[in-house]
Amino acid sequence: MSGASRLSDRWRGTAAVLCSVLLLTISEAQRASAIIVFTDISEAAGIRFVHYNAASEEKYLIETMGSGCGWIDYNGDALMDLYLVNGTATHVHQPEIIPTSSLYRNNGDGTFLDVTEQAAVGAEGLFGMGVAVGDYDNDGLQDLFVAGYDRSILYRNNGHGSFSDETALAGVSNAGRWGSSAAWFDYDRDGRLDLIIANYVDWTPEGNVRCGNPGEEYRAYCHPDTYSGQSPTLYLNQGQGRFKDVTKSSLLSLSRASGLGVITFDYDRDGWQDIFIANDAMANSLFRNNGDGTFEEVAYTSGIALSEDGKAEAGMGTDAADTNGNGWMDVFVTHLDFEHDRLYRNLRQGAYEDGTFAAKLGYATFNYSGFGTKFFDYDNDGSKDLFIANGHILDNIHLYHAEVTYAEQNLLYKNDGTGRFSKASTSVRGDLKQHFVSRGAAVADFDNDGDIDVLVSNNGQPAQLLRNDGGNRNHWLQIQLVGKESNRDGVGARVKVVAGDLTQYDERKGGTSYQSAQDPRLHFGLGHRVIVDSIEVTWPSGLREVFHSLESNRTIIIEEGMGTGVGVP
Amino acid sequence: MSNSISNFTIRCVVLVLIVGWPKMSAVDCRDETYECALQQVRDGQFSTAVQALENLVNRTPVDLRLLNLLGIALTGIHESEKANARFLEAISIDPSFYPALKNLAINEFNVGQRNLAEFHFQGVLELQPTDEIAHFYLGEIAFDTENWDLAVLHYENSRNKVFDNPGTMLRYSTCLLRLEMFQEAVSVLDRLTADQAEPHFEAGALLGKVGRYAEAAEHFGLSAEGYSDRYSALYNQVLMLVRGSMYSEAIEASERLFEGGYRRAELYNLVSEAYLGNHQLQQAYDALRSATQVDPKHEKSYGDLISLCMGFSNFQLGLDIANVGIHHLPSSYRLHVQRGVMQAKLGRLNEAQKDFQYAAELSPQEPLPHATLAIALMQQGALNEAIVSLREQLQANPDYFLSRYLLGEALVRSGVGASGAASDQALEAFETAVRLHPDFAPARVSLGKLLLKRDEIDAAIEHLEIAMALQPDESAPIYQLARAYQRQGDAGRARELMARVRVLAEKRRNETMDSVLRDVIKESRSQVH
Repeated sequence: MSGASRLSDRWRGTAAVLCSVLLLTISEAQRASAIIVFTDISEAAGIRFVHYNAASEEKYLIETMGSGCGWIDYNGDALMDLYLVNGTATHVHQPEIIPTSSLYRNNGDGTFLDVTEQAAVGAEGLFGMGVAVGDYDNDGLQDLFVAGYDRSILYRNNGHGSFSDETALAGVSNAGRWGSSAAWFDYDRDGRLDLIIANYVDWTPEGNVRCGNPGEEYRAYCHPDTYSGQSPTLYLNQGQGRFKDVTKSSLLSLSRASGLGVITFDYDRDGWQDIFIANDAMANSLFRNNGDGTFEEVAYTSGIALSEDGKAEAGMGTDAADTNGNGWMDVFVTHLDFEHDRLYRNLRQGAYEDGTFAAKLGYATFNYSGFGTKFFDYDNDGSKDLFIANGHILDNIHLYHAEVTYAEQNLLYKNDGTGRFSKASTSVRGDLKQHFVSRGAAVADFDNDGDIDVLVSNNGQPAQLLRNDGGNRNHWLQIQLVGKESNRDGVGARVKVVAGDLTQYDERKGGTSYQSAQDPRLHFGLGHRVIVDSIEVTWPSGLREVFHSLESNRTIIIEEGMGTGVGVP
Repeated sequence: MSNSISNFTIRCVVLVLIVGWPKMSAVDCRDETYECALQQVRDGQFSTAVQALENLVNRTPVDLRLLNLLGIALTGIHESEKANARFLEAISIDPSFYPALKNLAINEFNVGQRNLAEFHFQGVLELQPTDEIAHFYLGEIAFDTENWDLAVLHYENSRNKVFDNPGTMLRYSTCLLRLEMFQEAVSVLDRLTADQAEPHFEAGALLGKVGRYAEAAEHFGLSAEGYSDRYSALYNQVLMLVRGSMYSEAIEASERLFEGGYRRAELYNLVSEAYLGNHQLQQAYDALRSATQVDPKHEKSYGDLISLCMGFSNFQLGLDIANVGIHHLPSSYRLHVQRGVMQAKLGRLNEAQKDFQYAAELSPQEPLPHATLAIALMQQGALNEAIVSLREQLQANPDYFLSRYLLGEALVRSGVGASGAASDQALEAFETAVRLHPDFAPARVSLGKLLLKRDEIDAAIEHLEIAMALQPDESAPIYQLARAYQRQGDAGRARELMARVRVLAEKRRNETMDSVLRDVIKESRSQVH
């Protein structure tokens, strides 16, 4: 199916929606037993991108840490286009052709076209890491932020398929820092998107040291503890395309760590967007938004800083979701092999506990090095499943651990609806198990067929676009939020969807995964339920409004203030 | 010890007699006089002296000096009971005549009547508080009853008496070491003379036991020339140097043994340990190979070295050693377990599992292989198999704490919640493990965690506090304890504990940095060469 239906005035007062229903012809029994196939269509789709990591014998740490990928509807045609971040030449590795990051336009027929040059978003000369997508100037056009080593770039979407580099004017270069992941979010609720960047460590080519066992073949990428961590960077959007570095005044500068993945979300449901950062080999950071422009680091006291054994682990990617239907955001963090990827259960009242084993995720990930990760309902059964992109950090890991390889398979776990996960191997086929050195992972319904597809960026390798075939046998609803008083992207909005006996919660989060940007539309699987009884949206502005009796299998656009207001808390 | 004390006792009895009575230059002993009898006693003519003294006593039965000397002479001919009767006669005439009281006490000490001796020596001190001999004997009595404080007090008041005999010096040092007065003990033992080989050897053993390895090595080295077993002396010297991480010195000292023609497996093992400590891996490996060539069936040698490799995180060398061991001892379940551990540390979980499995088959009655197999199964995600295996093993070895603990862990890691049958089983498993091995901190931590989940916060705190005391440098009990106090509402204690967790994390970070910097320095040095 195509595109989205814009909710119009017909919504007002009646709280009813007139949407067309995609009639499904298969039976419920067929639906339950159906096999879902993830097919790598990148080559067929014309995605020729190969990540350049500048791998060298010097083992520069930047070579193995990137890069990410993201979804952006840059031309406003309701088709998700994709962006792949790239490395560049280094002092010790000079390619014949200088690589660039790439923007691929979604042609709507299953193919993509490289439009990097026309769009002028190649990020030439930048050793890119992460990407964040957001409409920072509220002009209805999605802008691009590319985080990288030593500097970052802000591309403002001009419309008509081109961007301009506004980094200097906006003052968001993040100069001298190793930006990894970034997220757009409105932390002061002024209706403008601010920017948080998780910075990694203070590695420099000049300060590069030799690590690993004796013998040249054993030389390895250094442990991050070899270098000092960096504090995150927070840019306050002042309007008029200008930002102000408020890292210090917000108190974020007090926390120096090796940040890699970032999420912005409201973990304590106080209406203010908080920040979670997965740190590599250091305690995770949870910055509680005090609502006055400052943040307080509460990871230790909230129980999300460490593993249940009190150990700091190699935090890489991260995502948050309500995995057990209690309305509170749990947090998942990927780690290196021989550590458990961790699921932290939200106990409410600002407290988390390590619920990895209770979720049956303990040993499922023990032998893999996880990076990008995303909760999404791949089979539309109404619960958030979990995808993990894996790949080791050491390209010569086989010399150290004979049974471990640099390239690893990615993992997909099915949520039984109560927050317990099991490997989705019995009902999922296709190319998920191919071995790659995966880093970024971003999900989107790029073909608008109602099931979620996966984009994976691989270090030094081609990217993968894994098309979901069969996930749309169940019913679904996709919501695009458009803020008015709130930021236009609706980042920070909280959404509750009720369909019969099924109640789901989600948030329009910032960041997530590893160095990657997600489909901005919120996607809800509905199982066999055809009608959505209600949607309740709580906007960052505080406005809460509800919509009733919506038909499924649609993408709907909800504009702030068009529904039935149920009060401003 | 008893012989030396006995000889010393006789000398003391004579000493008690002589003190205060200067030796006469010439005595005509045809007469029965006190002076003549005294000279006979001095000359060791105890029987003649007894005869003369008994005649004299019959004539003057209240002469204290005669009675005391008669007691001494009787002691000389081993008539202790008669001697003591004479001493008692003297005391009954004059209770303040402490020489007789002291001689009585010495005789009592000598025949093993320690309580009587102690009582009478204390009587002596009441009459003569600075009496060195009484202090000396009371020191010996206190030593025998392991009253270290009192022994040291008396030895110190005996002044130099304690240094008259190397055996006493060793005992005095033992007391000092027990009181952790290490430097004082070392000073005492430093007064042993070069020709006292046996005491030097014992001194080495004493100091080695309390971790004073450098001084122990020195004493073993000094004992080598006169000690009855030269190899043992020098081997122990090397052992002490290795234990004290003085690896270069150990390697150097071992040369004396090799030059002496000693070629023993245990020596090669020890030297291998020194080479490992000195980061001379090839030499360590060569020494090991020599050890295995000398005695290839010595299972413990392999185990010790593998443990050492584990300590140095040199898992590949550990694996090589295990392979050599298994080549010679293919039926050793221990070696298969140890090889499995090395495989696991190298990330070869499948190979590790095979070793554990085989070890379990080799020795089905031994619980350790089954426990390690369960760990491997858990790490492979085969939690149900691990649970089944552990339950089977517990039927055969119900009191093996490790299997109990692992069963609890496997249940928890398979996703048990705060309540339900599986949760109860996990709780019981942890509680039993703690009961069977109260000092095994991991079981207490796991029990604490589960109790927290079950909202039994006070009980959780109790176990976690003990676990923290057992493992003060482990973050797991401290972190969980902080969480427990937080839930109990004691925010201050929780903050304090979290601060400790942060410090431990920072310490580990710095260790990584230091390690890298060491490697950088080593690398740069090798480039210069």
